[in-house]
Formats: sequence, C-alpha cells, structure tokens
Amino acid sequence: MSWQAVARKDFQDASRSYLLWGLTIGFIALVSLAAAVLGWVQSDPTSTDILGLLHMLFQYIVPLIAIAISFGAIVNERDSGSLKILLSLPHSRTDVILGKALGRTAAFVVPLVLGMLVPAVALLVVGVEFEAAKYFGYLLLATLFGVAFVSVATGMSATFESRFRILLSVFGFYFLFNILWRAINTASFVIVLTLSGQWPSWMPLTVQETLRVFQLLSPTGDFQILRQALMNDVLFASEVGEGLPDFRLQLGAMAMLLVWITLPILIGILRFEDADL
Amino acid sequence: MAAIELDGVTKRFDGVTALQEVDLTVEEGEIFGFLGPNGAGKSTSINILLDFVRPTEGRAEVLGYDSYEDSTRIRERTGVLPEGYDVYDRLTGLQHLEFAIESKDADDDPHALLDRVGLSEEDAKRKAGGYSKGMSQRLVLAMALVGEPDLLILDEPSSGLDPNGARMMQEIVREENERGATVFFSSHILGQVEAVCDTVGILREGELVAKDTIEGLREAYDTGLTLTVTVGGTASQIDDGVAAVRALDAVSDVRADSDAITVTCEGDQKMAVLNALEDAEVSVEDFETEEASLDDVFSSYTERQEAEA
Repeated sequence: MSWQAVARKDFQDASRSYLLWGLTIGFIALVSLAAAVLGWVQSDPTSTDILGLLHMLFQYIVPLIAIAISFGAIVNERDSGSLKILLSLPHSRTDVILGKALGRTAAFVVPLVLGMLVPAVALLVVGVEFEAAKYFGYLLLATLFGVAFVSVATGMSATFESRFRILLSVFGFYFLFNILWRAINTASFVIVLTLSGQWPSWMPLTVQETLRVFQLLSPTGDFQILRQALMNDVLFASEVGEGLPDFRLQLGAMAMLLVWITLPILIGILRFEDADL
Repeated sequence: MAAIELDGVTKRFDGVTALQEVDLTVEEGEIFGFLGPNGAGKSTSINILLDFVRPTEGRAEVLGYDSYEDSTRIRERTGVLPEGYDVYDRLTGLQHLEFAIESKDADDDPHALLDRVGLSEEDAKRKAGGYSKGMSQRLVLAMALVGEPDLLILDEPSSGLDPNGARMMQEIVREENERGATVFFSSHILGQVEAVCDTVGILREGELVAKDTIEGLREAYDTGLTLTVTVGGTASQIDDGVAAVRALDAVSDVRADSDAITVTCEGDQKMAVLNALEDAEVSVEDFETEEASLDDVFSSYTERQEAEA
C-alpha cells in the first residue's frame, strides 16, 4: 500500500518545518493562557470552564490552522516539480492524494493533541479539577472538526492548478460555513416568515427541523451539536433534556462530519485523476 | 518485445499541438537517444510514457503495459530522472533515497547508490534544499537506479552537471545497459548521445523526423571525411599531388593552398589519398581528419524547417 509511504514521507517533511512545532507551542500557549485568564477572573475554574473559554477561540482558529497546513498539499508539489519525483516512483495518483491527506491530517493532529495534552498535565499538577472525559472528548471532536477542513483544503489543492483558486474556494468555504452560515440561515427564515406571515404549509419540515437540517450541513454546526451534547453529558444518550440535540441529530452530525472528511478527498482524487500534470 | 512503443501519439494543449502522430519503437536492451531542440516535444513524449499527461490521440506502451491503464506497474520497473523536478527541501539526500527504496519495495543499500553517483556521506546527511542543481541531479539519478529497473528514462540527464558529472552519467548509462536495462534518454546536447547511444530519434516541432543508428544517420547525411594534409615541397610537386588525388574515384573535392591540401572523400579513403601524395613526391608533414559530426546531421534535420520557411 503505497499511500502509507507517501503519508510517512509527507509527515516527515512537515515535521521538519517550523510551522508544525510553532503550532504546537502556539496551542500550548493558548490553552495555558485561557487557563491563566480564567484563574484570574474566577476562583477555582475547572478544566471544563477552561474548555468553554477555549472553544470561543477554537471554533474559529482550528479550521484556519487546518487550512494553513493543508491547502498547499498538492499544489506546492505541482508548482515546484517535486510531484514529478513522487509520481516517477510507483505511486498511483490516488495513493498520492490519500497519502498527502493522511500526512497533512497527522501534521494537524499532532500539534493539536500535544498542545492540549501538555497543558492538561500542568492543570493536573496545579490541582485544577479535571474532567477527563469532557476534556478528551472535546479534543476528539475538535480534531474531527479540524480534519474536515484539512480534507476540504487538500481536496481543493488536488482539484485546482492555481493557488489563487484554491485559496479562494477554501476561504470561501470557511467564511460561508463557519462565519456566515448562521446569519444567512437566520436571515432567510426571517425573510420567509415576514413575506408569507407564517411558515409555508407545503414545507415538509417544521421551522425547527429545517433549521436543524441547515445546521447539520455545516461542519461547524455539526461540531456545535456534538459539543453541546458532550458538555451536557448526553453525548449519544437515548434520553436528552429539553432543548438539547437528540440522539438522531447527534448521529446525523457525526455522519455529516465524516462526510466532510471523506467527500472532498474523493472529489480531489477524481479531479486529479484526469489532470495533465 | 519493445521496451517503448508510441503508436500515433498526438498531444494538444489548448489547441497547441505538442506532438503530431508520433510512432516510435525502442527495442529492449537498447540505449536510445531522443534528440531535439528545446520545445520539440521530448518532455511531452516522456510525460506521456509516465502518464503525467494523457495523449489526445494514439496510445503508448511501456514494457508491454499501457501507459495509462498500467502506469503504476510501469513505474515499478522503471527508473526515472524527470525534467523540471524539484527535490524535497526539508528532507536529506539519504531520506530521499530511503523513500525511493520503500516506494519501490527494493532492498538497495542507499549508501552504495549515493557513492555510485558521487554524493558523499556528508552530502547525504544534509537537507536537499541546500543542494546545487548538479547535486540534485545526482540524487535523483540515484533514486532512479533503485531496484535495478528494466528501463531507465532520463530526461535531459546532463543538465546542471559539470563535465565530470556528465562523464559519470555516461558511465552509469553504459553500466546499467550492460546489466540489461534499456535506456531512453533525451538531450539537446549531441555529444552525450553520440558517445553512448545505439539508436537515435530526432524530434522536431512535435514530429519524429528521423530514427536510425548513429552510423545510419551519418551515412544518410553522408558528408564523408574531411582530410587536411600539411605538405612540403615545390609548387609543381604540390600541383602534381593535387592532380593525383583528384584522379582518385572516391574523392569529391580537393582544395590546395601553399602548405596544405584539404580533401573531402569517403570515410575509408584516407590511406589512398596519402599514398597518392607520397607517389607524387609531396612530403606529408602532418594530417588531420574530421568526420561528419552528429552535430551536422542533427542541424541538418532540425534546421531544415527554417530553411524551408
């Protein structure tokens, strides 16, 4: 299986860049800072309180970091010509994309995991009340959320030849789903309700259900659903309290995250397969 | 079986024709020189063999496999030195080779390969980003040699190499060929092709305009041998000598000045010319011969276009 060789080489390459270790230090600094700030304004914060503060930053910067690590995955090699070395060896194009996606995923996951593990040890040492299930559960969800963006960026990198178009489409994706999505949805519902005075009767779904579907479509929405469930101790629980995402919704969110992790790579493979290099 | 077979291959990029119905066969065990000026379509042909680009029409086979359907199989048994590549800046030379060995599922000793292409242990431990063009070229050649490939495809292998490097390249080409590998290499520099190739193909503006052995090409072009003889003696002796040489069948042109006679003749007539001069009592002090170089042949093929236009 030659994608493994490609992935290993790609990670080996990335692990020698300052970016990877700079990011690790950055994550450690961020988690520590969040803990310090919270410890200063609030007496005896728990690890979960720290996660709450951290999440406000993470939901915006985790995708950005994933994009920064991955958008050049294919296009950089295409531009420099190292892709010719890679494809002179017996790797299929599919192996190259899979290996690259895996290598970039590792280059994203390692700093994130180290960046949260090191402060976790520090929190334990200073005696902060540490809720391990939530802390590591959150780390897992943030990882899946970020990997979806690694996949989108790698897929775009394989799809387009021009760096400009890759950046445009990846950042377009980020702004649409991560920044604007909620506002767009709210605005469209307000418009629909204002124009027709009520939710149209021919719609097969209720207002609530439709909003949920839209939330599911966005990786950020999926992350929010799962995080909310985790923080309220109802992750994949059959019974949930009022106003919390139910089991079906959580399952849907997880499934959609997995779609966002696999689909962009598949599209990238198909497009790259047909390209003249 | 042919090592390489191009069958009516045409390649157009956005309406620009890079290759026009190229048919080409390279036999197993040959050293094949693929000649042509820059932009003639050499790299495009190689890119098709390696499935970097797909032909618009026609098909290519390498080692009996379809270049598109079985590309991975082809590259398992082929060593490639591509054109316009770049090394991985952050990986060392040794890591590059280890990657090639792993990718080819081979068990070569990376140090032996590095030694063979003239990279020192110290070079091998350095990141390849700091390599000169020549060192990168050596490194990628070493990667191409991994796994004793049945076919070597080398695109402009000597570019960036100093004369020592170019000699090393030629030696390796010969050694690999003796081991049994077919070698296909492209160049716009004739000296290298002339020195090592059995067969030559000349590409001009996307069309294969000639394919023959070096000898065959020379004969086809046939400028024969130019013999310049430095002579001594009186003017009348020299005139006699010139007349005697002119009388020879295989001589096409004779020119004389005060101390030299320049003779154009068939390749094997050198001794006949010298004997005729001796018989006419011209003293031969020195002589030089010059064969039609492949340069002449090459330019006759590639420049014809301009003359026609």
